[in-house]
Amino acid sequence: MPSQIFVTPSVYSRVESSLTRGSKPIAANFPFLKVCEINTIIALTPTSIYEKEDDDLIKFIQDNSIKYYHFATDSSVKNKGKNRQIPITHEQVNKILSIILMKNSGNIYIYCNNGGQITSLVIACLRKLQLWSNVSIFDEFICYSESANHNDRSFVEQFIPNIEINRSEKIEWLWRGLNESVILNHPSLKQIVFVE
Amino acid sequence: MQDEDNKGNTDNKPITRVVPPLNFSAVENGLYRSGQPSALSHSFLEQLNLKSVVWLAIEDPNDSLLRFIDDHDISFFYNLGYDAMGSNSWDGLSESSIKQALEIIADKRNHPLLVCCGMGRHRTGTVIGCLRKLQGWNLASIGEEYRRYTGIKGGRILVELLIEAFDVSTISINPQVAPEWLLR
Repeated sequence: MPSQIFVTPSVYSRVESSLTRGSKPIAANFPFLKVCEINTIIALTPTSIYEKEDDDLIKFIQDNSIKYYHFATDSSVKNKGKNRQIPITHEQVNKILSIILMKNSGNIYIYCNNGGQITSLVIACLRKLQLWSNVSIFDEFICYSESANHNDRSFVEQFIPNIEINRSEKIEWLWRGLNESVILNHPSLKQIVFVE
Repeated sequence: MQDEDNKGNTDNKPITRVVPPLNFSAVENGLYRSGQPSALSHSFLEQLNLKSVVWLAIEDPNDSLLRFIDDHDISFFYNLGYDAMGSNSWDGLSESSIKQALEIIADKRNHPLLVCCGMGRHRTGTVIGCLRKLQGWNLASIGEEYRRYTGIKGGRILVELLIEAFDVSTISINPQVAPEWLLR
């Protein structure tokens, strides 16, 4: 029985065995993230914690020797309503996926400010790489983001995974048990380069 | 377009699509939750290498799931703490059902483990909520996770009250067989 009460970041969830997601951590979440033994944090926010001088989080990251990656999202796009736009690019998503797929990233926490749309888009693209059907992808998506509009849907539908995968350094859960020939011949995985 | 892409193959099978069960999610390493898996999800379930399934609904699951469980030598836990004949599917889980489910979850010899019920909302949500309590999560985080899986109709207050009132000290954890994420 833990002796303390843990406060998870809001919309915290486990995506896969080495990957968790949620909103921007606040000081109350640090004890929880500490027991989760997070090794890598991926931030999807307009500014990095260093530009913003977010001292609490900077200190937490340093004290726990966490690797911090920041991907600047576009804060100029419309972020509300039916025609909400996409603040992140396919190129960025491909880079983020490469980090997620590396074994030596360890336990990863990926966040955007509210843990909603932007993180969901990245996870949706990860699911696409995992060959999930679009219906299943958006079924998961709407648990975390109030809606999935036409922009969100076309962003994910048009996403083509374009990354280099190093077989020996890749985490194991990506295509859990899928037949190798399915992966090598799958039309949506044509852009993936495998290296030994 | 698709024909072009498939030219190299000897057979033109449909493109592989992975379909997880409704409301599927990982809870922790080796522990998953979902609604009732349909036959469409069997190939996905196969990838999880499940050792056990905990079925929380009163009604029996569909035959194809039972067959899947049989064919893959999966331990199937059902009718936890009640007798299906004398129970009403509208009633929530009893404390003894929750306790039994948590003790199955707290034994890593049962992992990888899938906890599921009809829709993966309230019954599964109750057990996972009580598990979070056992892990020391605060109630706000637990409630938010529960409601995330309950769809547009939202959560049931009774479920949240049940989770709040549940006494986790009644659960005995054997550190020898508990998953490491439950021990920290």
